[in-house]
Amino acid sequence: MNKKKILSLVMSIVMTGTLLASCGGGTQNASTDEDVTVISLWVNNSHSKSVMDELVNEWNNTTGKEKGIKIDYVVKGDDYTSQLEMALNADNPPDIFLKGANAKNVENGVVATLTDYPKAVEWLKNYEGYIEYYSNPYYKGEQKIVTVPKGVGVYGLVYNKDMFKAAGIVDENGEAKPPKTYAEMIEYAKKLTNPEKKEYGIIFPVKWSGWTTTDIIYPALVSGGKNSGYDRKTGTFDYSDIAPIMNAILQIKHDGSCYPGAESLDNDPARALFAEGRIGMKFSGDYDVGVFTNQFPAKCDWGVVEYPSENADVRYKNPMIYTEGGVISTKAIERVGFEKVFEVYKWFNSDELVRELYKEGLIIPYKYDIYEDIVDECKMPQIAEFAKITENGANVMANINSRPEGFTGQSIQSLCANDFWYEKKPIEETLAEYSKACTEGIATYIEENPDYDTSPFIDPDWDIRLK
Amino acid sequence: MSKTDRAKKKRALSGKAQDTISCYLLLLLPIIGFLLFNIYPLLWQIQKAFYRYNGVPSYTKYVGLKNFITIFTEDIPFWKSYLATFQFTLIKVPVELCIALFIASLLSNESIKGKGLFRAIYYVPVLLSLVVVGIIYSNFFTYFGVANSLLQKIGLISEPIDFFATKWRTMTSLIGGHVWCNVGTNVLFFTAALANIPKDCYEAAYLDGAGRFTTFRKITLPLMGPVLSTILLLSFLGTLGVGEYIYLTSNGAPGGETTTVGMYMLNYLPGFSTGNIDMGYASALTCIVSIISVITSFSFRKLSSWLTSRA
Repeated sequence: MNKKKILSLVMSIVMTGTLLASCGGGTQNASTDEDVTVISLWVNNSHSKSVMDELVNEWNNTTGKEKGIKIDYVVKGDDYTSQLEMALNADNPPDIFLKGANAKNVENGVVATLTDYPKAVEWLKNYEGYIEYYSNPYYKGEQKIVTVPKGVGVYGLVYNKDMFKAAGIVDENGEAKPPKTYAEMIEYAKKLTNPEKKEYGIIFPVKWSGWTTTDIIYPALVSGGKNSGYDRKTGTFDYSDIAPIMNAILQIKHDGSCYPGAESLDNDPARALFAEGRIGMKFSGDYDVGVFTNQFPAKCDWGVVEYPSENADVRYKNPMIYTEGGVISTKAIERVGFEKVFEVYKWFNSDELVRELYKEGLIIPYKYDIYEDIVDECKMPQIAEFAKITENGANVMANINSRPEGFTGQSIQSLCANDFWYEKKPIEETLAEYSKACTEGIATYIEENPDYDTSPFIDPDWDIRLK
Repeated sequence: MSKTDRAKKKRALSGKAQDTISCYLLLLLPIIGFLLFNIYPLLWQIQKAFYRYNGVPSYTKYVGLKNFITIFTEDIPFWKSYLATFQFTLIKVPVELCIALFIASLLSNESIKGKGLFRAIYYVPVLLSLVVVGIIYSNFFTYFGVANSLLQKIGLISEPIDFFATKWRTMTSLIGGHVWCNVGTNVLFFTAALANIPKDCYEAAYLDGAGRFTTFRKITLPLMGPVLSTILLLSFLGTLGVGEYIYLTSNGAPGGETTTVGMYMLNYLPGFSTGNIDMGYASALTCIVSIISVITSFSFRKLSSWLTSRA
């Protein structure tokens, strides 16, 4: 065999070996030496890195030192999900990590069930009333708690105070007066619009996949108390509350009071336009505060209010979505025992920590009581405004599963964005048909899944109406 | 046979065997890659087409042919998206190939200086990711975007056009963007094909008094026939699979009328789905799409051979 062949052979073996070797591997975590146990903690929120680094250092040098634990705080960027997936597939997960509280991880035994440990059960009593059965993703199956709520995502309406004042939409004190009802929203949008100056009353990023949720489903929830049409009281679907907000949006469209070309607008350009100060109102979430502060710094004075409703006297609680406080991997418990990992987990979800983060404007804690006394101490005033909305907020609960016949490939989102916005289908009739199909689809789903337990989704005492 | 001959033959055979072994060893890596990254996912996807599957073990269930039955009996949006895909393809491919052939013909003209530079310029958009192209064109055609601004400045329109308000306006915008980012590849193919046509054919034609159009029709096109047929097939199949570009540019606007099959399938995948995540159903859709693509490709080749034989 000549040298070339030998070289080729060696290279082939090396490359094949490298290829196969690269399929393995994973993360380094939970290392222990004689004195210190290192607990890895993976998060995806890079915006809080500098503050968290300081807090982690402080903990490592005080409590951690006493208990012989060191936190290895790892911030993974945009590719967090894929890196976590790789670590999980390689059976080498981080000890504590975010975005792991899902049915797949629970059923595969990747994440620890907190309720299996008496110490955790005791600690979980702090969360009573905040961990609802089947409230995605804290529970799954036989009342297994794998995570706890830490923060909350809040939604509402942001408005340009300067434009409101310039248009004379003010209260008795001369302050900008945001709309409380759909009728007011239509009226104000009209007043705020001035096409010559390229100023528009409201902006609808119809191209954005989240548009129907923030601009239609959530306002409908505030007006009618049903999340995406599901009536938790009766266990049926009724999408009729979608019609008033959809009709209001179409009225604004016909009036020419919304930014033109909504069909091609994604959320980022819409945010940029609002930040430029040429848009009067926009449905939004607390995540936009950071955007209007850092990404597209707002060139106007802007504020936050609750969603308007169809009728000012009939309002239901504001939609909120809990953000999870991470999960503990079963591997970590096998390696270093529950006590040490739980010590870090408790600190990571402690009231003290979330209060610090709230002050920096990095989180809105899940429970208003935790930060009620410091609600105005937040460095970002608009975060404080969103935070105040949570006082009258309710977690958006997971809906019952349904297989609506005749609507394959369609959802309430596609009906709103594709059929109603373009006025291709009559709103009320279609919603009635869809409600009927979804309600009947519950039975179809149960037929296909005889083990499916519907009881967590039906609560005859369910009442989120604001008194 | 003498002993020396036998030894020589044995050495020759052994050399041949060694060659074969080293060839297989060299092929080992691509074969493993092919099995691992092509065949395995394909088989996995075919298997999952018979399941309801979203990655959660308790949700996973064997459903037999149910996914396929649903596709054929209930999933009207899927077939509508197929119609939009074919419309997009049938308009875009001829436009793109005509432009590419025209540019390639110009670039083949020896009197043009800086041909290399022009070729590079036409090829640059090909190097851009379709995601980037989608975002560029999405912004280009917004209401107060560059396209409207240009048209207003040159006096073609007085009011901005909402490019995504009607199906055919959206389709035109989408086709414009996709042609822009793909034409460079076809320019390269056509330039190579044109370079292979013997020059004496043209000289003979000119001597016989043939004009440019006649030369193009009677010499260039027939001699490029086999290459043209391949380019046409590749463009056709490539365009049928377009999905992420549409998702980013129009997101199916208006009202899902420009949703293509590639984009429609995203509806069932995590991160994109607004309804039920079901990768089993998405796998079944992929199977159908693959079968249709194979049938289309096969029919195309048959038609092409038949036309060639008749010519």
